[in-house]
Amino acid sequence: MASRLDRRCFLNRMARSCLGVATLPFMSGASWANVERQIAANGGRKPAKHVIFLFMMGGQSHIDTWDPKPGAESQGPLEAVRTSVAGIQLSSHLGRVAKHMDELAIVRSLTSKEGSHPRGQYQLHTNYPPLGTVKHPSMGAWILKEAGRLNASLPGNVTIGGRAAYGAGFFGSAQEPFMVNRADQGLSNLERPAGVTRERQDARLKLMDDLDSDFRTRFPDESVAAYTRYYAEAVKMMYSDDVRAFDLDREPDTMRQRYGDDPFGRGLLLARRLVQSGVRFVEVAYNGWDTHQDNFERVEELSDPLDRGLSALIQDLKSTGLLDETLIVVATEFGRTPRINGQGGRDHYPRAFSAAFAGGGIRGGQVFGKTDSAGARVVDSPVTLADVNATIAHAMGLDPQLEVRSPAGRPFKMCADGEPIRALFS
Amino acid sequence: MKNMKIRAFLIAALLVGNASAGSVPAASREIDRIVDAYHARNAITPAGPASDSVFLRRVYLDLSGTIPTLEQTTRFLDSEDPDKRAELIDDLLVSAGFTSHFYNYWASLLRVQGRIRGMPNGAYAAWMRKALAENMPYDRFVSQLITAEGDTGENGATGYYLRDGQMRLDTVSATAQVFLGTQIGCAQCHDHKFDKWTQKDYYQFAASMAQVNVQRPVDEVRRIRREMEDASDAKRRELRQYLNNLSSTVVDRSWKQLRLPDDYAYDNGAPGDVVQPQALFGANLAATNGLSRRDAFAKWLTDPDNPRFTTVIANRLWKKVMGVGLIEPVDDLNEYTEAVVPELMANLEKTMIAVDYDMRRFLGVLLKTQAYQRDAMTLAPGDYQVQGNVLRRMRAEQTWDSVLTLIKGNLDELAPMRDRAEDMDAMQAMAPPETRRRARRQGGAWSRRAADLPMRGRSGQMLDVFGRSNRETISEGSTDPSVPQALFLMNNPDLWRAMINWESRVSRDLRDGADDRERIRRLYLTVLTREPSSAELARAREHVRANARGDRGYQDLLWAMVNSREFLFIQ
Repeated sequence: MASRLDRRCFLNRMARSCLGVATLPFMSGASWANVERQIAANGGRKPAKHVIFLFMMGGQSHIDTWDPKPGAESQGPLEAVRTSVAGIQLSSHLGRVAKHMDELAIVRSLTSKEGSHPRGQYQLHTNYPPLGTVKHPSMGAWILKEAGRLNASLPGNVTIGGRAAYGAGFFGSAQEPFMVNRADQGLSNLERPAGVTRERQDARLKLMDDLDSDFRTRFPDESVAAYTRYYAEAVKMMYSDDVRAFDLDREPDTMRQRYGDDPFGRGLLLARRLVQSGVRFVEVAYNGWDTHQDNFERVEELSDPLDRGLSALIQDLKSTGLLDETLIVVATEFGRTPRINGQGGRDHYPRAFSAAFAGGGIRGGQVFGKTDSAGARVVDSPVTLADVNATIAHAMGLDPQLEVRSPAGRPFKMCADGEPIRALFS
Repeated sequence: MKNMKIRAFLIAALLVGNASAGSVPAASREIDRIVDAYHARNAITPAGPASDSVFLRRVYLDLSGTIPTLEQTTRFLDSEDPDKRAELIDDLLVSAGFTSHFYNYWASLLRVQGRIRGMPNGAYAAWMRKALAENMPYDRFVSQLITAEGDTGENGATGYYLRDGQMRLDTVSATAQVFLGTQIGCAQCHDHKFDKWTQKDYYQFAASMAQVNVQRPVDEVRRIRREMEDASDAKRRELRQYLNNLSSTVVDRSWKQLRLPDDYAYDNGAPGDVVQPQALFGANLAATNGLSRRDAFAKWLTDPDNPRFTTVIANRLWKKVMGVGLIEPVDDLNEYTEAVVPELMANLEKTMIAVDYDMRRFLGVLLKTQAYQRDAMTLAPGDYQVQGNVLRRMRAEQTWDSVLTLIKGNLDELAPMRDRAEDMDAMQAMAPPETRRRARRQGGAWSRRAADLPMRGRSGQMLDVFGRSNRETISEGSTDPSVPQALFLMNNPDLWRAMINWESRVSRDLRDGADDRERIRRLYLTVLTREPSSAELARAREHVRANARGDRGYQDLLWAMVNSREFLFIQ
């Protein structure tokens, strides 16, 4: 009995292994049932198909972005601007985004206990605190695993400009994020070696298959067969038009200017191209928010690409009709102190911070939760990092409480004890 | 070289008593006797004996982490010495490749990082290399890690604690998992759901080794960082060097009590209660008076009477060379765990104790068995009954080192590393762009073994693609297949530039062949460690003749062989 079970796990793992597998189950039966339940629960709303997760790495100052406190001492020199929705204000650095407030839901009541970057970032991505003995899968991996891929010739989970500190964890390589270090550099190893024509490569592949056939016959193992499939997939990818999704040179200059010709802007443009080509989950990491010094100058500099890129993204997704099925999330590991330190900076502050959502069934034009007049304490509807991820799962029609066992047999839930913020959808 | 031979002889002699070097020790014969009896009793037909070629490639990959060179291959295959297998095993056990390969293994399991939260920890890796190079017995190796204290620069073993910063409970959980094969870490936050451990057990266990404080020169680091901001390039390099040499201190604080956590919710204690140290499996640490808590703990942990310590390492090393453990998974044993052939597991434990936890001698015993020297086979997990050696994909580091062997030849003859790999992250970052470009042009990473490459950066791309452990969690890494792996082997420009370079080992070996037939034969021996079959020879010849311009045909052949499944898997 045990051995049959082991074998099933093994085959499952193998079948799932890696991107590009043609036999990949796009969505399991359980997930479909779940989707139907979710549709019913949401009054007929269809689940979102994609997530664009914008990670404000380093701890974004909530007071200087999503939760301004005009007139308060903690606010410093910054001003607030009106948005397209009466009664809601944002930082003046986000003036372009403010025009899309009717698409945005701002959550101003995030709170956490993790004031260290690696621990907070790990928790934001996986819902669990980091442990030496197990690596938890990140949300992108969970979503890919449960929702499956939409385009079999592209990876389903892509991280642009981020770090590999959180990935598929114990799920293994099949859900591992495809890392793109620089958005303008495309994918690596897609070009044939220098001087090798396509014809010659085909001859090489034929030679490889002929010479290797004895071995493959002698060892009809799933892991051997999987490599043979992946070679076929790899070759397909080399010549696939879909891979052009990774090529920003195909965008006109004007478009690149619209998103901003900076790493984050290019990341957003790439995210849009990938989502249009069927990638499930794209994270764009934007580092630099750790503003211990010169907070006001630096937040202003940092906000400009965010403001330009995010407003362009919302506008484009809306005009192509993709916004309804694409959830955009702007999140960070913690906020920053209302108190301004001796170097004109703000320090780590997990007690209160903000996140923003758009698209994917989110009802725009609302603010959820509240901090006090200094931005120091959450005074209404506190929300955890796990709740942010549970909200993502909910938007995707997935059950945030779905439980999976690690290879060592330990049970883990997709979003730990996170609860979706249902008010954002109604 | 001569010294090494003498040493090999000594080691072998120790193992087999009066017999000469190279012969099969009694302990190996005993293992075969147990396995044969088990097979007879259960009517299991084991795999047939492995050919010299299959054995040769396997034993090189298992002990020195790479495929053999053409010269090593022909020397072995041509030898008519009846003891040549045992002699080769003894030679490889004392080779530089062994230290490198086993460093990769232990560095992954023990999560060795060159830098920890901005603090240098290169001394930890250096300590581990030295311990493995000197063949420190496993019990002493573990004991030195557990009891380490003092300046991290002077005692690299302290890296065991520095590695987890102030997250002491992570060190505790890792200790239980790696050395005791026990997942008590689950009980850190709640009673274990599938094993017997309670949260209280966990804290009592933790209390026996967790009172350790890591003092890091945080203020000094901060000061230097500030100074660096306005410094000239030269000054900055100097400061960075200084930073890299800063050490921390690991201090024993046995007097500080461990307390139950604030959210402790069970009846057998209250939040904040002081926890008394307690070993696992009913042992009592209080009995070892006069020792510090960690000394007492280490003594209990590494005692041959500890019911898990010996089982775990014997089973781990069995798996390392046979492909599957007698107990799986190797790090989640519980009271119901039963080994595949229990009497064999018992014998391996006995052998481990008899060789005084000398890992090389133990491996020598395993590798000289017929059980090791059988043909490879594929099995569904759970069907393992010691029928043969289980087909495995090379580990990421083996893949890299094997490719490097094709490019560079015998890796043991590479110039020794001047700088520790662990410092390379920092070095790369501070080298001016022109130096970095030049290093790349000159082959850069293609002259260092996997063990000598940094954990971050472009040079490790192949290792990452092939699934090396990121050393964040306890893992040997992954051998799962992926599309990027296929893309890498087919197309990576650096790889193929180095491989078809006129001066690469494989190019030179090829040139020395007199005719097509001989060249093809040499290519097979170099890449796949075997002679081609007549059908393969004919097919290769047909291709080479049809593509006679320059080296084209041979480049294609090399490409096809490196991209074959046969290359990537260990039989």
